[in-house]
Amino acid sequence: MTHPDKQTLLTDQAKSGAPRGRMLPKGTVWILSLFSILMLCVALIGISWRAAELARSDLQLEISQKAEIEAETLAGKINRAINLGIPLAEIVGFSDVLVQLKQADPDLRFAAVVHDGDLLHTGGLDKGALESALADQHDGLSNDYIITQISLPHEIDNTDDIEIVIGHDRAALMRPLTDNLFDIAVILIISLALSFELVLLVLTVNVALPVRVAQRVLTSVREKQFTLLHGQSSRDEIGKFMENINAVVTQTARKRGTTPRSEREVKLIGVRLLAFLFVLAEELARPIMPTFFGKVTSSMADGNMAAGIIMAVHLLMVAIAMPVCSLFQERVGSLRMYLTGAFLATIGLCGTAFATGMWDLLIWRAFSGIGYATTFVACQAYVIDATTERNRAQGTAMMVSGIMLADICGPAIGGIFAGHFGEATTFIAGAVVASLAVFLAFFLLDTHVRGQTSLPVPTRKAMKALLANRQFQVLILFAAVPAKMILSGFLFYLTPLILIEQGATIAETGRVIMLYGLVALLTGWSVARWTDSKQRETRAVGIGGGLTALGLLLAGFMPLYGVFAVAVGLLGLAQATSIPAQVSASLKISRDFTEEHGTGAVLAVLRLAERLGGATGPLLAAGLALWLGTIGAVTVFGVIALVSVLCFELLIGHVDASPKKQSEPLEEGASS
Amino acid sequence: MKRIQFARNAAQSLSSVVLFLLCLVAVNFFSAQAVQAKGEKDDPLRIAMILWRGETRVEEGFRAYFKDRDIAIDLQVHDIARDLDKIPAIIEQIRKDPPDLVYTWGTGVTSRVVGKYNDFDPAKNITKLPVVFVMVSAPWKTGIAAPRGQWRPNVTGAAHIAPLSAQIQAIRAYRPMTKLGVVYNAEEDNSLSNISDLKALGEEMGFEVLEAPLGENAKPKPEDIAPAVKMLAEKGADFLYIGPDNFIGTYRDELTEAGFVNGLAAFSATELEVRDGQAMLGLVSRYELVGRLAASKVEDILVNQISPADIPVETLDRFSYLIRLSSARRLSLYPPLLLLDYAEIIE
Repeated sequence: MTHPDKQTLLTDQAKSGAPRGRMLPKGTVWILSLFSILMLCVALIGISWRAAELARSDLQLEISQKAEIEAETLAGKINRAINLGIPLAEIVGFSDVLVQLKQADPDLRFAAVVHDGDLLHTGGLDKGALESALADQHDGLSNDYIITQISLPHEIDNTDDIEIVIGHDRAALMRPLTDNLFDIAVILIISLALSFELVLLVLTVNVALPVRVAQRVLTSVREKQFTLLHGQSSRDEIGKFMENINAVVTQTARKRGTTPRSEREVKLIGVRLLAFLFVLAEELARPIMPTFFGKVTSSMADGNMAAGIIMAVHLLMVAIAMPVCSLFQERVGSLRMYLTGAFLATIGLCGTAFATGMWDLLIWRAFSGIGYATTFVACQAYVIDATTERNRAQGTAMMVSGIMLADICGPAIGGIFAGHFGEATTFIAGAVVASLAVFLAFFLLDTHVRGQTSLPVPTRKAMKALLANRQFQVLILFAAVPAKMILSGFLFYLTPLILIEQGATIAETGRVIMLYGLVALLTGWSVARWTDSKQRETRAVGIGGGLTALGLLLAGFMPLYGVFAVAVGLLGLAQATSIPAQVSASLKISRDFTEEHGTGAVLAVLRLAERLGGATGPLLAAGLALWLGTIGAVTVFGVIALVSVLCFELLIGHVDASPKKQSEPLEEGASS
Repeated sequence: MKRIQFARNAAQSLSSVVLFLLCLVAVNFFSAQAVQAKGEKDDPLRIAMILWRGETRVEEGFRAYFKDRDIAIDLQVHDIARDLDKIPAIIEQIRKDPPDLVYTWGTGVTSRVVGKYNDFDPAKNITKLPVVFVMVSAPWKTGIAAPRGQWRPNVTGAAHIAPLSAQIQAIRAYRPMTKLGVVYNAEEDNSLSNISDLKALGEEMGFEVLEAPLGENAKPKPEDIAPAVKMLAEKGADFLYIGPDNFIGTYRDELTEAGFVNGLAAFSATELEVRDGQAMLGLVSRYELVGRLAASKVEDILVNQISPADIPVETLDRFSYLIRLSSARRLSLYPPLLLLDYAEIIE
């Protein structure tokens, strides 16, 4: 849901002629940020290492306690056999008992009954290996096993010298660390990302912007113009210094009989954090949504079907609310709109956490959907209002990078969070993030920003014209709609459901979903550059569709955790290839129309179709899952992707890179 | 005026409805009283028991069930002392003074009393009085119970044999088994049906059934058992299997003794062969619980007024794993440690 918006947003700006801005700040800010991140890295690695050391000593104690219980269990069984009059040497099935114990404790490696120094019964290792393990038991850390030995109680006749020996894998001591290695890595990446966001925000607002404005003011002073005052409020040394300069400028201007104006820059950086927060609030619960919704609604309907309906309603609300919000944006203003959206999202997420049935859940998710759409439109409008043609791409890139970061971090951190604190708590955490966004919006959005640029709204005439364009229809029907339908149906609905069904933890599921954003982020720029250089957008759309079909069919035929990770990665690559290319292709296909009416209507139609496609995804996935099972649904989605890409390739025709007039009837249709 | 008239009509209708409901409650109350009266001290449930070899723990469980529920019963016990020819006279006696229900023990007795679902004679069999049977190992195979989808109007009961696959798993939990030796009376339907089931299961579960049928040419004799067991041991049998067979049940000690001589342990599907005999292990329904299950069906028929046709023929869903340690000791075949956790060990 978030991905089409960010990708189209970025591409819209690129295609509408604005210069491509840089994603990262440069100069001092960048060096300071890098230094801070390096420091943070060192600190986090140190803390992780120390935590592992502490865990190891705790674990040593835990393992020895567990080992004693296991040894006593074995001793109890041997005792019972002896009490029944079974001779010690004729006891049968000792290794089977060990197999049973190993099911509960996979770190248990062997067990033996030793009588007068002889190994009477063994399990787990052959006699030779066991003898050498017991011979090395005093070698401390160099021994591969942690060995525990207990004697059988003395009250039994003639059994004084019977000992039960069990061995645990020494590697078990590091298991909590290795088991949680991925979690630790995810937390590290997210901590870095969040720190980067905060450092960037603080440095930009407190240093970069005041310095930039100060530079302009001082330049004007050097040129003896005295027309600019430093208006970027700051209470540090820069602020104090510029206050003095302001006093001088004011004094000089008064002598000259002129009035200097206050110079300031809009805090565009704020929108990056706000975009990050509103997407993060929603994405945190991404890995648990289908299963959680299924559980809440299980008393009323088939859980999985109901989950599909609820997810579809949410996406439908986003699809409907976005164009509606665009209509009101100008009147309401970005700040109020963002506050309203974040407030609605908070209520929606909070309500979802405490939902008791299908109907109230539907309402809460609808609230979330409207909230999401409202905040998105508010951020988008703020960027458009606060920027000019010159720096719009830079502003858009800021917002997109915030969203992208949340797309990557959200599912992964949400998965870990849900695993530790529960599913409902994860939604509450989302609500807390959304309410934090409300609070921060007061400080991060400039209230005086009121743009003149209204967001493009498709007119009836434009709609008619576009719908008459055969190539545009093909693009919408066989590329845009299936791409988003598969994204929401497969990635948001089926993947978490199947992985959790197959025994993956929520954290593991979150990591797989994170792969989508990660691959899209890492490949996005190079793929876009390739598409731009070759000017073969329709081919890129076709390749994207083919990659999607390949991934889904792989996952459908081999529904394993690893294959799903590959399929999700392929989907990320496919969407990174296809989505920006779809925007370019749509503009190119409707070139004659855009020359006359601008790109707004084309992009609005494309986005609406995409979002409606996205809304049908979970619904279709749920229906197919009910009919054919979840794995069958993945296969069908693969077949849909394959059929769509084949239809697209067959019907789209060749779209030339060079400007060319469209056929007359189409032009007539477009102008009618 | 119209309003007053309307109010009167409404009041009349309401009082009619209330009167109807009161009548309904009264009828229900008295009918409930009538049902509850059955089984009380002054009107006990009259049950005729036809037993194969006197009272067993099954009947103990049967009596205990009613005692626990404070339901009065009046039992007329007819012990045929393993002689099926006594049954016609008992049926005649029952017809003269009909009880509320007839209880039958074992396949032979039940078969003679009720016939088969598709082959019965109202002159010879009991076809009107409700009959509850116990200790019928294969009620469907022997035709005592109607096949699924059909029903017998007056017959239901409690079977006692664990599913064959569970029995084989129980043997294999003790020791590996690929050859199962069975000595059986070829004249008994029970045994024949069990052997054919075992053979079919053998193909599925990977074991061979070594047969030693007795009485193919003449009536089987207890002296035939030892040579049959020896022959099975020579063929490489891993265990002796004691199935539902009246002849082998009667001469179980001859069978198990021959097993000891030839180093063969005996497995039994019925409790008595392990508990009172020398079979080394068994997966069995406890007789007392079988009796209680049958008693619950009698309660359903006589107290709760449910037709026997609507009460399914059932077996218990839990079985006991019995190990006779003295036999294990004689054979030096001690039970595996894991079995000691859940098996009942009998000295």
